[in-house]
Amino acid sequence: MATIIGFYLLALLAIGAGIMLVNSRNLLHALLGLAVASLAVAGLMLGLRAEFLALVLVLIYVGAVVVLGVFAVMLTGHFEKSVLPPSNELKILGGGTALALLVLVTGVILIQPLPPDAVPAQVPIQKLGVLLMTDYVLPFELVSVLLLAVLVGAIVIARGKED
Amino acid sequence: MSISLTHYLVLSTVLFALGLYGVFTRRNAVALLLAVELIMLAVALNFTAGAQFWGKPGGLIFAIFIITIAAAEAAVGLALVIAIYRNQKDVDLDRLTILRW
Repeated sequence: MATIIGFYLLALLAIGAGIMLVNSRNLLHALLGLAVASLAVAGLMLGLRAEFLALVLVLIYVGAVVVLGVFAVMLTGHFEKSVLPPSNELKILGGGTALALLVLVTGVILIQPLPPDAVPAQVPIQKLGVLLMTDYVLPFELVSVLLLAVLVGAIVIARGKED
Repeated sequence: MSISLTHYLVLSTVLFALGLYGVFTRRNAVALLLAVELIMLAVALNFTAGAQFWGKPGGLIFAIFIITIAAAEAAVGLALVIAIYRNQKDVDLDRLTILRW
């Protein structure tokens, strides 16, 4: 019973924070929405017994992405100024498309045979590490190259011209 | 009744649709990137739920990759926004026409 209540509470929190993220005209409120949504999803991952992923999510989303976002908001001068609202036409078109996708995918999920309600088991971190170094070593190395490229690219792009 | 895989899949679909709505309607580049982050978050949750209910840890590895790539995308995206702001003094996507020929 407690897990059911916990799931619905965290799900509502995540959806509410997501609505704040896409609707708020104050960018710092949108960033707060992203932080709260990330924390709620991390809580859901704890419920799924994926503790390591929950930890990584909090570290990277709340610790890195949100902080980067705060820097971007302040550097682009939207600290106190609010952003422009979307036009009604855009709202209808975008909302309609998103809603259509939601209905379509939810319909497919509901008619699809899914595995029985097994209680998720915790995967030991050791197993994840071994998998990362054996079966998934090629994507792992590719991601490390990507991270290097991002590190260099972000510095070069954001630095601008030298005075 | 307990929480099944369907619950998690529907929840992540809702979060994905919200993020998509944000991508369609936001006119500020920083806000648009934040909506993309919400989409990545939904997909990471989806992969985690699938991996845990099917008992296949490969999905967890993919969730780790998705989180990593989301962080990389945020770093480059926000760097680009700052570079554009330096040139244009504006990050409104409707007025952003420097790539238009």
